[in-house]
Amino acid sequence: MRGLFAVYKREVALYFQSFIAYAIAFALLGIIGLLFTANIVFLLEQSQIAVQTGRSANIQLTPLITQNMGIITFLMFLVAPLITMRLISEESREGTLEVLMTLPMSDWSFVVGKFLAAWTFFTALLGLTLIHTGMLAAIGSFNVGQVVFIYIGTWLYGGATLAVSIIWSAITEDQLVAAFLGAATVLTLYLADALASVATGQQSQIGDTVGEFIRQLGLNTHYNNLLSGIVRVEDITYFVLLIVVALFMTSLVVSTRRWRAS
Amino acid sequence: MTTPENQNTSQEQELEPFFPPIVLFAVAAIGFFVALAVWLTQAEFGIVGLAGLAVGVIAFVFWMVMNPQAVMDFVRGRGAILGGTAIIVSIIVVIAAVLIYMVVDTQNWTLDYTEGNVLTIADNTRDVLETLASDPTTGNVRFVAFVNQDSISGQERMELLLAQFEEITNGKITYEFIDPDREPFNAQQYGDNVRNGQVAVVAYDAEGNLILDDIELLNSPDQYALTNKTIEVLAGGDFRAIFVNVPEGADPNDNLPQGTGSGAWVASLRDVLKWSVEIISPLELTTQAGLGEMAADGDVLIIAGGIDALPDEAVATIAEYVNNGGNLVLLAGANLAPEPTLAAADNMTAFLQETYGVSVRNDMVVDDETRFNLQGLQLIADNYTSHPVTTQAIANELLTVFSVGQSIEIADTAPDGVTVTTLVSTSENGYAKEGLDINAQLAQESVTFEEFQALFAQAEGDISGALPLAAAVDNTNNGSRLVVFGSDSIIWNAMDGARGEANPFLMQNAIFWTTRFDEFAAGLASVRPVEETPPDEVLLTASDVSYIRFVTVILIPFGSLLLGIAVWWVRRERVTV
Repeated sequence: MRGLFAVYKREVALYFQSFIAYAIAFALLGIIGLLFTANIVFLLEQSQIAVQTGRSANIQLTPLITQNMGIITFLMFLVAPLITMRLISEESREGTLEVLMTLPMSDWSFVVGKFLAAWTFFTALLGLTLIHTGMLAAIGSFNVGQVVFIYIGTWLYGGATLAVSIIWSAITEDQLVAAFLGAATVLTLYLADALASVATGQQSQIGDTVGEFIRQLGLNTHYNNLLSGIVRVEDITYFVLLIVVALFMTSLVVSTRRWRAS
Repeated sequence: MTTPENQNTSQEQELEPFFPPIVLFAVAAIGFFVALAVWLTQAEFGIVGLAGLAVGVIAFVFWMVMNPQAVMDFVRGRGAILGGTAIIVSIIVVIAAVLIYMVVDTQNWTLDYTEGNVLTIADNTRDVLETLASDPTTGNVRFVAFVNQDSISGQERMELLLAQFEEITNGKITYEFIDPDREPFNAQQYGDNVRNGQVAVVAYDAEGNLILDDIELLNSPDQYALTNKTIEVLAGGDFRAIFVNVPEGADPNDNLPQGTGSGAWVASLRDVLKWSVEIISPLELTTQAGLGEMAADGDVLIIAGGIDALPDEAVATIAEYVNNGGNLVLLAGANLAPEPTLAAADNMTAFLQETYGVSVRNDMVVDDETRFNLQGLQLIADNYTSHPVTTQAIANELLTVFSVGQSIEIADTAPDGVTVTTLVSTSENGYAKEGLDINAQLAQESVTFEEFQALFAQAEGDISGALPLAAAVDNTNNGSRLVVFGSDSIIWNAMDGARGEANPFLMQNAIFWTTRFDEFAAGLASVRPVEETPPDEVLLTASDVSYIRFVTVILIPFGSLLLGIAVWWVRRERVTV
């Protein structure tokens, strides 16, 4: 645990000392801000129409939060690889990985420490969107229970995409290749629903089975339930297991590097 | 000179394969890839898939034969031992994760934080479903949801709701999913145009077959719509109405929308309420077999009008029918001759008095206070007694039109176990004329209006006062109920100038009350969506929007960027130092 915490502390500090992390925050929050404002302008028009027609502007604001989170999860195919691309590949490229491997620390602790640092950075990004939510709370009302689980779902979604992206950072020393492969993997998981429908479109038993398997692998199959307020334990389990399996594979890759080097 | 080394080299060159083994390995990989692609994307594995698989296997085997050292190195090498272990462990971990997920998936642990809690059965819905589940008289119901492969997520959510219906009703309500794209013939059983997202609500008959000619289709299948449609398909119950098509009575085959007969009632009971409806002749009444088997939930015999008396055998059949729990709605025909009408005939009078303590008098009621027209043949009445039959008439202060109305005689002392309620009566100024021969008067060519009116003038000996025009009787001895009206105009659905009056309500309620359909329907109350608290009013001004725009578009993103630049600058200076 001590090793895990040491890695975690070091990586978190690196994130918050890295300009690229702030650039990612700028891009993500800028896009969210633009779309959020467009929605707010639409709300203003709706409330003005309501006042002019003598109706009350009772508008549910939860969809605005849903939309914000939808943007984040969609952009995770770019954000997650950017956050994780240097985590292990940089260590490999600069030769510090071998040095780190000599420390009294398991591969698992090393990988989990790195992952938790990335997840912490993502949590901070997600936390900034609470400002948007807080402003919505000031002008109207929303379904609090649903919003809580939307945030939890997005947080888990972010964790899962980060964990999947880390695998490529461990496999390749080239950060760009890691980012590209990470983006491709996350995008594939994001579009699994569409891929599943290709398989099920064949109208065969095998196609259905394969399609259902692909659909269950997909991120949105599980995230959309949380987004609409349906909290199923299997959906949360999916994200947790995806994180655990991805981190396990990453630690195996790191172990492989260790015995290859020895 | 040839050295041994040179000999070996030339032998190796002779043994070198025509193409390198790696090519075979690549061919095998391509073959397997083709087979996999066919398996994933095609309905049948087919010749292409088989060929790909065969090429893959053959090429792989040849690669192993031609390059045994590489195979041995791969199997026995250090990389294989460590890498192979890693692969095996990875597979085990993935399988374990899949198993954990599958186990959790079967548990169906769900919390509902959706807008309006659409996946949580509300208390009022649950009450109705539990009532249905505990009622042994209601049948089973099937929900057939139409979902295609593009809406599998929607199916999962719908299943969360439908599974609760099945659980709460202890399996009385079951469900299935049909893909209308893949099973079009199966889907068409439930309607020619069923489409993705719809749910058909279908009841089962006593034999356990789906009643496919009574399907309720829902476009927006929320819990309330599903419950109400379930009530509708079950509310039909097992009810029967038998119309006796008597000569000169209301014609049960008159189905014209503007008709004046009872055809509208036949259509309404049969098509809307899904009752069993039979139309029989008086001759069929002469044998008990003519009435057939009584319906389990409610059975009623309706005789609307008629001049000639029924044969004694027919009246005896009716007596036996009501003694077995059958019910009767009797409407007296127009009494335009001195002879009694069917309803007031001796045999009918004797039967009614004996069984119900009421009968139809052979007279014609006149009420100067409420004459409907100058001729006096029609009168209107609004003097009601509170009763399930008169509910709407009282509540909406409606008038009832009696055409050539006859009064109802109520025995001073009702038979034991019999309760009689006067439903409608004339004003205190009413009186009844006996022995009028209106047909004869109308047949005379030279009768004047005054002479005709004189026929209806009150005379000494006429019974007078608030004369009953309709009565309801409940006989607890045999469970039979009777509603008797002094005129068959009650069944008319197109009273000239009187449309919208109480007549249709009285007729409907007479049928419902005698068969106890009103109690049956009340027991299956509809559910209404739980009213939600509306969201707060959004109060926004232009300055609010400007503020929000500043914070979300400028402050947060550019603040992050500035912070990043500051961090970079500080670190740069430190590095420089």
